[in-house]
Amino acid sequence: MRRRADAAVRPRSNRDSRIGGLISLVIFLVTWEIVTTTGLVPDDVLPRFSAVATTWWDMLVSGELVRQAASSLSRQMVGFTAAVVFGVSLGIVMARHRAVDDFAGPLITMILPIPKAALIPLVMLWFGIGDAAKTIIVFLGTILPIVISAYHGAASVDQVYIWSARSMGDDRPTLLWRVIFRAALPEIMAGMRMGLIISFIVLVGAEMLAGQGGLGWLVFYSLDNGAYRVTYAAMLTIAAVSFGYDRLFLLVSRRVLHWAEQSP
Amino acid sequence: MPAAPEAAKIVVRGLHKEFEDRATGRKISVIGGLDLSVRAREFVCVVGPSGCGKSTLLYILGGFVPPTSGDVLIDGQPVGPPGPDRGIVFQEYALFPWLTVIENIMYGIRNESSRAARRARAEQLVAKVRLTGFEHQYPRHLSGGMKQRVAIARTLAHNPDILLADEPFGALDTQTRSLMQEELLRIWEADRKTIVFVTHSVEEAVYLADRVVVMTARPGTIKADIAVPLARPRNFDALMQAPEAMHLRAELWRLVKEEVLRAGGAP
Repeated sequence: MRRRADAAVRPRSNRDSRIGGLISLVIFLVTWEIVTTTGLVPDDVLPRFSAVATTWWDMLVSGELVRQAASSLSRQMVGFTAAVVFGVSLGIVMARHRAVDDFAGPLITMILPIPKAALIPLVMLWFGIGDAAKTIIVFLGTILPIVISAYHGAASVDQVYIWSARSMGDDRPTLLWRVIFRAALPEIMAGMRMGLIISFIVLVGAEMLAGQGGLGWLVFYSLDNGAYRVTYAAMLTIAAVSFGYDRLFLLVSRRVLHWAEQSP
Repeated sequence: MPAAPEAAKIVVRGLHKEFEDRATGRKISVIGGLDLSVRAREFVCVVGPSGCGKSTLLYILGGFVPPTSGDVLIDGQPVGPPGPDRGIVFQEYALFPWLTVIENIMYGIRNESSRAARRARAEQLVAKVRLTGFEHQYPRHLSGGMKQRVAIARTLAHNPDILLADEPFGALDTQTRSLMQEELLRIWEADRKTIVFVTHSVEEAVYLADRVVVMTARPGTIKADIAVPLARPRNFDALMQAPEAMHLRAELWRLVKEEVLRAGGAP
């Protein structure tokens, strides 16, 4: 209970490591620019970074990138939020009620090892290729780490918290919300972060397979049409968006979990 | 000293408690036929060797753990599920780390109508345990002694008839511990609740209690039930020197030691 704030939740706010990360990024981009301008790597396979950057800027100004990113993010947010609400509730209830655990537990352990990408064709078969299908894919892809973390968080809540709350008059439903959920929050947030990372992987995959807009679609569509600069620009955008989202999430979880013994 | 059963706040008769060892599936008898009666507003300390079931007895009184057999009566009624009539203080403080001092204390206040009223009552309790100025701190910023003060205030907040204490000062250093004992006596003398206080310290038991109950090694029963006829309010330093208290401590320690040795532990 005293080590709840998992290391994964804690951002490395260490200044040295941040500068280190920046240096490696700069080296990467410079190398990219050099191997393409010197012709070491043919330009039609890998456009120059400067060219990609120009294209990226043009697409940003034209609103194209924003439109596609918004389309991806709206699917991600709906699917992810649904997974959080449903997954956290299920995980907590499973941890505290034997019957629910016995019922849902085997199902979850069975589904767990299935690669989430394998769900994409199946969901498309059932729900078509629209927004609903992609949202459902995000939901399915992200719910498991969330259920599992909520389950473990709720199952390992210190008995004395529960007893204290019961002796202060909490009934069982109140207890779930006021004590179990709060005490499990550090683990839940760690699971949510895992889900967040997975959500982008499965979403981009789904968008590539089934068109109709989004950053993943943009990658695939531009590749099909030989517009490689756009492909790279879209990929960089995906990387930037998921990185920024993750950082934002860390910032929020640091604020929410400020009370935890191990919080930064 | 023990009053007639009908005047008793807590009556335990023929209490047995068995646990199942998860690894072997064998039944382990923790409490083996225990009788105890506690009068209203009495301060009873329970001492005994580790593993004698003294904490289990407390958890049964709290309604957290069901007895295997026997009667456990509170005000003549069989003990029910945990509720605000019985407050409990744990050695690990059990403060909710996501709530501030004042929010922790407010947690237990249910009968006040408005939030402002609850807050006012919590403020009073903060003052009572001398934590004014720390209302908005989170538990992780508090020392052990301060955490235990908050835990006591939180328990008093719902105004229980009975206070159950499970080695509440066991994790504190010696100085803090004796300050906390003094504090608890001060609070108790102002508002006499029935207290069942589990401790492994004979010295603590003699200082605090009206009566000290010595438990045998597992399966625990009552080995001795000894009145502490020392006048209140008590002074810790004076009690350290008083021949009567010294004699009591020696006697209790002899009884506990017998059981520790019987349990196979080092004294």
